[in-house]
Amino acid sequence: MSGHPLTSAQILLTCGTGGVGKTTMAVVLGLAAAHAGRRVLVLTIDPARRLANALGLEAFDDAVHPVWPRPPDSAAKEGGSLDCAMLDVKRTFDRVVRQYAPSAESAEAILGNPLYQQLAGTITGSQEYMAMERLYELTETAHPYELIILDTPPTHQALDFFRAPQRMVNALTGSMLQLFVKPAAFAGKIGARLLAHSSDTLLKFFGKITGVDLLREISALIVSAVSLFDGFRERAAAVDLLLRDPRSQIVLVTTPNTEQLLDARAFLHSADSLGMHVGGIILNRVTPDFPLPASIPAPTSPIEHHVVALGVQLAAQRRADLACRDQLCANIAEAIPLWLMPAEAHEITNLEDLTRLAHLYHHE
Amino acid sequence: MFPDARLIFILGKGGVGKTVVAAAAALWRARCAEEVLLVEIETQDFGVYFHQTPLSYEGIAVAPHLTVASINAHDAFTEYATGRLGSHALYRTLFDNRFVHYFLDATPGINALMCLGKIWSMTQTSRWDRILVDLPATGHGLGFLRAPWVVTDAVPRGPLYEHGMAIRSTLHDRAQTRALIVTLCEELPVRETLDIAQALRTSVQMALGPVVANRRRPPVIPAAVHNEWGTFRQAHATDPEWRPYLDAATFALRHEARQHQQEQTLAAAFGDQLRFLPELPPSSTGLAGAMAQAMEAWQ
Repeated sequence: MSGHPLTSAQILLTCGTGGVGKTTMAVVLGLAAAHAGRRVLVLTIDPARRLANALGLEAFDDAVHPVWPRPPDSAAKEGGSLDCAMLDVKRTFDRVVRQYAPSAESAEAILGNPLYQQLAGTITGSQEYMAMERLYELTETAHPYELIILDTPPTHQALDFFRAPQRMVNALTGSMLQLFVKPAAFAGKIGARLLAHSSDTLLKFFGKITGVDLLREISALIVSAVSLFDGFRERAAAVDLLLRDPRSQIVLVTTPNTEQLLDARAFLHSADSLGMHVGGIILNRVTPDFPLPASIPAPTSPIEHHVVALGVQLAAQRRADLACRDQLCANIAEAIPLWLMPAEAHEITNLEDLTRLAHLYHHE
Repeated sequence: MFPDARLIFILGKGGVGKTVVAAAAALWRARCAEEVLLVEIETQDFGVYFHQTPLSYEGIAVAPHLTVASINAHDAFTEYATGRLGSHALYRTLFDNRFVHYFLDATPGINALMCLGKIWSMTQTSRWDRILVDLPATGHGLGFLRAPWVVTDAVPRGPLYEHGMAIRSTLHDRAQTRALIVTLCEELPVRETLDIAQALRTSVQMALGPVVANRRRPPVIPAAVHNEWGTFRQAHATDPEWRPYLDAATFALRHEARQHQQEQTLAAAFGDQLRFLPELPPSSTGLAGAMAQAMEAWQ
């Protein structure tokens, strides 16, 4: 690891299971790097409305929106800036089809197929694949950013994200092609002998089950999509290489609870075996410290009783959270920074809140 | 109160306790002497709540009046195709596993259609008073319910079209089918719940059953003494001994206010469809039972 990820990395991927505050942390990291003087782009998947409002954005779309400094103060900036964009899966998918199709006609044939309309949104891994695709698009074109932060889609297992594109490509190329190019090879042994490689007969029987029209649409989609597969595969390999580069680093976002600690440990292990570089871990929503005096005030009324109980309860929660931190520390290499982010008592409603959190990175 | 519909789909964002709520609802209805079938799709998550692994496609009785099944697209397709061909031997001869596996993988919506078809066929018998289906966590869950539309829209003819249309008419009938959404009183799950409800109305056309807000915490300061908090805080604001306690309480109250705001959003959107479940001590074995007991208060 060379240097602090916020100042040295070119790509940061925030990873984590759903609901840990991943998107907020992606923006907070972006602000921290922007305040340190870098030009940053944060690419998010689906930000909460409140976060979008906090960023001063009315609507999220594919386009890049300046977030900091705000446009009127742009003259005041000393190099650092933060832009945000949201990933539109369907639109990215359409763009990929247009780009890789050998001709405009075949692109339209794919885009117009009724099954494609569903495919783009429903096939497993398409969101992850398109996030990677967008990242690659960005890195391949001339852009003004020194750091791109990709907020990855929430996954059950944080690293599923990296396997998803390959899985999608495999599902598309493997299954579709095999099914229609050599169907007889997949019939049972006796069936194959009976059919004597006559895929027409096999498809006729299969059509009895599924309907011939469905098979016709599928094969039309496959015939027109075959031309895309090589491009898909090449791109997946290129993205893979990009992500293994030491300048690409993962930031794991997690919260202090025992179950997630186990996930974090598994995550670090598999990141290592996949050849990914972990640039840092954010332990989010740590209970703040309310330093209670050594002697507990003796409650004399019901309200005093409740207030004392609350203080004691939160102190216990704080201790449990810090125990989680210690456990996490014991499991990671010393070179990997661990940042603690406090639980916020109120909604993050503006850029100032986010900036306050961003400054915490520099104080660790 | 629980809807009269026989078929109930349970939806929700991951991490809100959807699966345990499904298990608890099944247990509750079975304790009310309904014949209940609880279904999960491509997973074995119910095993832990009922001490029963592995679960089977056909279903295993796990408690009085309660059967749990784990269905999957491959077996559902085999069942459907055998029915279409009229012979299991012919099916086996022609199509071995790999072929079907590839077909299911390559065709958008077909996996979900097959599973929904299996569930639909179980509504066609009088064996079950109640069928509860734990759908995959949202996005996916809605995509699942969209499958009959996907297939019938893409190919408006043939046996799969007719199969899809039969499923659609059952899903669309509010007397037969309802969706139950599980959520938490937090911003993201609430927002996702509003999105699911919207999608159910517009693209799936399924009637909404109860919306269940899970893990509701008891008040930070009980209502009986809550009005004393303001004066108490002012009186002790400069007392260094009390200060950290006041800060801690303020933090907890603000957090509670946030949750309360989300509760109001849910109440405004769902009115008397909204139900609450209390936060229960974590326990993999007793949780579904304790939650089923909490559900009795709904009646």
